Amino acid sequence: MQRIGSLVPLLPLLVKGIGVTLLLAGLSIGFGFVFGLLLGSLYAWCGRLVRSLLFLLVTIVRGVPVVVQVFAVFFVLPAYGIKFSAVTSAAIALTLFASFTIMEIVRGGIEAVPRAQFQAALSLGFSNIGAMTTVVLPQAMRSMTPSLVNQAVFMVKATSVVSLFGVTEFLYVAKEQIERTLMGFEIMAIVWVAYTLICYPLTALGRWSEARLKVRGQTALASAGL
Amino acid sequence: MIEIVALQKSYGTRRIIDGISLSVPKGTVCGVLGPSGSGKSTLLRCVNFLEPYEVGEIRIDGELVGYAEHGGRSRVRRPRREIARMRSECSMVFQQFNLFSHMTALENVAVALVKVRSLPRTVARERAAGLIDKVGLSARKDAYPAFLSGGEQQRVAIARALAMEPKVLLLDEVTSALDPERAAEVLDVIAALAREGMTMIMVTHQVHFAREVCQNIVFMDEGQVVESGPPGMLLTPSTERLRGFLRHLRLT
Repeated sequence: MQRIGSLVPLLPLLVKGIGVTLLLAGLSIGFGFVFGLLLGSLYAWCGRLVRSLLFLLVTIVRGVPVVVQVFAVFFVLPAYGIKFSAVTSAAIALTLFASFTIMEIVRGGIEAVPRAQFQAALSLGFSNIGAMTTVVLPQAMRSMTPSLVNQAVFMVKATSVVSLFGVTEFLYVAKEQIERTLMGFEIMAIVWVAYTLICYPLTALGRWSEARLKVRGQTALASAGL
Repeated sequence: MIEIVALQKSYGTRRIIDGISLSVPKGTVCGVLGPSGSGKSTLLRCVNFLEPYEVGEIRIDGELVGYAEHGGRSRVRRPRREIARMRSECSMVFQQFNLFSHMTALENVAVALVKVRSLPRTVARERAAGLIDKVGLSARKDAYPAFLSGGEQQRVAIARALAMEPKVLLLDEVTSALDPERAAEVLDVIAALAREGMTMIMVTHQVHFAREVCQNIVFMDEGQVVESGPPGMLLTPSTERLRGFLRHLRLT
């Protein structure tokens, strides 16, 4: 009991760490979503040249562990005179990773919407962009939602890799405190519970939006023409 | 209203439309018949400029579709904005309906009024409700396409096309995906439009219906007009090709 009591003074530190984790996750998910949406639309849009370029980038970014990408931003960019703070570097690296993964999700979502939908919009006088934003993307969102939620949860967890580079996010703070207090079991329990508490609402949000999109749109049965 | 002169369209080396000329006066209905792959749908898609064409001219109300007027040899595309405007003036109805599946029937009809014509939402909804009523679906206006029958979906699609108050309506085998009863619902709507004097080009396999509503019939094969004339020509075809085609239709 006394051991648990001695955890209490650590809490403010841990909460601060959670703050940094949430900041990194929020930034990388937010910007990753925006860039991913742009890149994915670009891919669906453009000719062969842009496609091959994007495909190359996706292959490079996705074929490498997140740690290595973070490593690159932390150490390779400064070598060329581009210097950022630790948190900014981490945010950049994670956003890069998120953007290209989300781009793939968006591309798949857009390609799953029948081309006829796009053309029906054009024939009503929509511009290309108008047809995309009013007709194609809302329908693509339906099939994209589960993967996007997955990606968001993954990004929350992926932020932990930057602890290796001395960014004082949640896991880094926790490890520091374990070394100082030697209460590994208790602190890791807190870490476990905290990550779960952050990720659960995301999953719940995903389920909710999925259900909502389904009611507004069509069920699997109905789309099969039954 | 619509003048097509020596139209040609190819995909790669395959020529889909091979020199078609066609004239549809205002307020008349032109029926286009022909076997699958004869270029009927492509013809409609060219008129809507969903497909660019290489040679020839399509004019609606004297305006050249898709390309700027020019004196020289090379064609220049019209600005996107103009292409979009011209598309909205000759609305298309598709074989597979292509209703926007994330919108209700009413929203499907209203959306282009808001986003393309920039009408206020309330005005657009009111006009859309009027059109939904016209195709006999007021009771179903808040249903999503997945919950509408094929015939109902196609009638909504027609209402959606009419919402833009087009000069011309292009109908691409609008009843081919429907059973005879559902098809009849849709044909009633089209017949009513024809009586109101809507100018239409109708690609169809419904020979009897075509004879009833069309002033002109065009029979296409392999990208060319084989025979054209008043609907009576379907009773006394002068080419062996059309005679054969009609014989097969009667058998099925």
